Amino acid sequence: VTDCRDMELALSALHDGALAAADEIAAVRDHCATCASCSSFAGALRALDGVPASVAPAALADRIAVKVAAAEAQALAIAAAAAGPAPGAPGRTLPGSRLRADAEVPAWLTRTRLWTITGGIGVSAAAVVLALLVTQNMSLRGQMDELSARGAASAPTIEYAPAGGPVASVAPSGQSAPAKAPDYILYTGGVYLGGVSVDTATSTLTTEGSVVTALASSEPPAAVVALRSPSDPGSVVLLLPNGSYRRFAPVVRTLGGRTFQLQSGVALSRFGEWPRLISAIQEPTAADGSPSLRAYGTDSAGVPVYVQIGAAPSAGFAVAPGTATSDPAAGNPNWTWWAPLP
Amino acid sequence: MAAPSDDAILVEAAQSGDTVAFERLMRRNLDAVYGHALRFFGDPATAEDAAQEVFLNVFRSLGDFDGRAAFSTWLYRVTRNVCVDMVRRGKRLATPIDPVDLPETPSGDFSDASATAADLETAVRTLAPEDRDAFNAVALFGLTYVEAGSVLGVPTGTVKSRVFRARRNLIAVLGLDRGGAS
Repeated sequence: VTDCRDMELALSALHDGALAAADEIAAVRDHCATCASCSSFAGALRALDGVPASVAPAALADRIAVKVAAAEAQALAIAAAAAGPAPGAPGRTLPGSRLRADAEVPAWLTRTRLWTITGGIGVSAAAVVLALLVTQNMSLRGQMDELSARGAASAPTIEYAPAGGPVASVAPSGQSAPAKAPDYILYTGGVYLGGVSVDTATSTLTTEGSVVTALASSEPPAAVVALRSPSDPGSVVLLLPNGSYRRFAPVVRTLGGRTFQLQSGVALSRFGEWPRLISAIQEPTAADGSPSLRAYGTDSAGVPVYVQIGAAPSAGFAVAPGTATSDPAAGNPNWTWWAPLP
Repeated sequence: MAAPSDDAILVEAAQSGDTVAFERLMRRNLDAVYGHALRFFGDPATAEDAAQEVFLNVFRSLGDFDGRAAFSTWLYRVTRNVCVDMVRRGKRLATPIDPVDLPETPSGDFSDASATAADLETAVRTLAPEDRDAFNAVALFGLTYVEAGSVLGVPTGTVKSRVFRARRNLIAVLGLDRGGAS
């Protein structure tokens, strides 16, 4: 170390723990004790460390987790479809898979995890463990239409009709302890309610992807193969661990002649869990929906609906907790979000 | 940046099929990946896309990671490659900084200065790319000079010089060299 320029270079290295020689370290310290310029540079290094670096947006980790889990689920579903049913299992080869045959299956994943599928798709494949936290980031901004011009003061009453979809059979609101939610699952951001078994002898099923749920068990959530039937494209059919198939219908309501499906911003990892508002919308802190929502009006059943500030109900709307037992959101202690179906 | 030993434990768990460990690994290292991409592209939305692609790549190739190098070194290599590939594919541009965007530098005693993360990011984008890369490797990913040199393909001494040069410039741009020692 010969001059201040070299000394500053050494200081930077010392700052990074890259100056190992004791004599070099001593030389730097001795120099700084007598050189105001280098001492100042040492302080500036510390000050630079004190400037905060950018951090990733909070929602980014969730989005990446969803993408990674989806990639894993797809890989595992491909392997499952390729493996076919295990001998003696009640399952069958799933026809018409939409999964790309050339989709990449990570080698490490096949080494460690695929045994759970090849061991018998009809029985145990549906219990492949992964964490798929499906949260749908809906493209709401592009869907604003002429209704956005309406003000909150107009408070229109909109045609409402129970959608004929499954209605939660839960306790009425107002109880101190919220009732347990029905048999909900979450698939691509939409909430579905468990219904009847599906007779695979008379149904053609197409592989769609997977749903992560523990169903009614207390075990960790697992990936369950999701299928659709051309005769009922709005519903999802799950291949259950026992080899049976169960239909899950979308939880819907209508507003203004359109059908909207219940969404959830949190994973529904097992039956009994309630959907919550999507993550793009801040949880209201007041009964009027503020600060993120505003009251738009009521439907024909008298249920108030709330929209995002500056948006129209056609882009989706929220319903406050405390609806009547006949309402699709009944029993849910949380605000709910309803997105338009295509 | 996450502690290397903790990363090693999570990597081992993830490689054995523990997806929760993988997610923890991702969350622990996300800021570094995002930070590098933000400095590379200068655009938060593109940085988010890049971070997402990085961790999808990591997920797909985790089995290739043999643990001979630190996970942070491997992750930095993946991150750098993803950013470069995005530019090569022509879909993204690495945005150079316009000098008029430079922040007003703090004045007076820098112990009282309030240089923000945004100031730092803007200042980092004024650096020469090779200096910025070396600085990111060390400051964001916690790589040693030797590790950074192995990824960047340059001698250790070159990394040392580049990091030093980056720091000097950042200190000047942010006005941290004014006002005396802390």
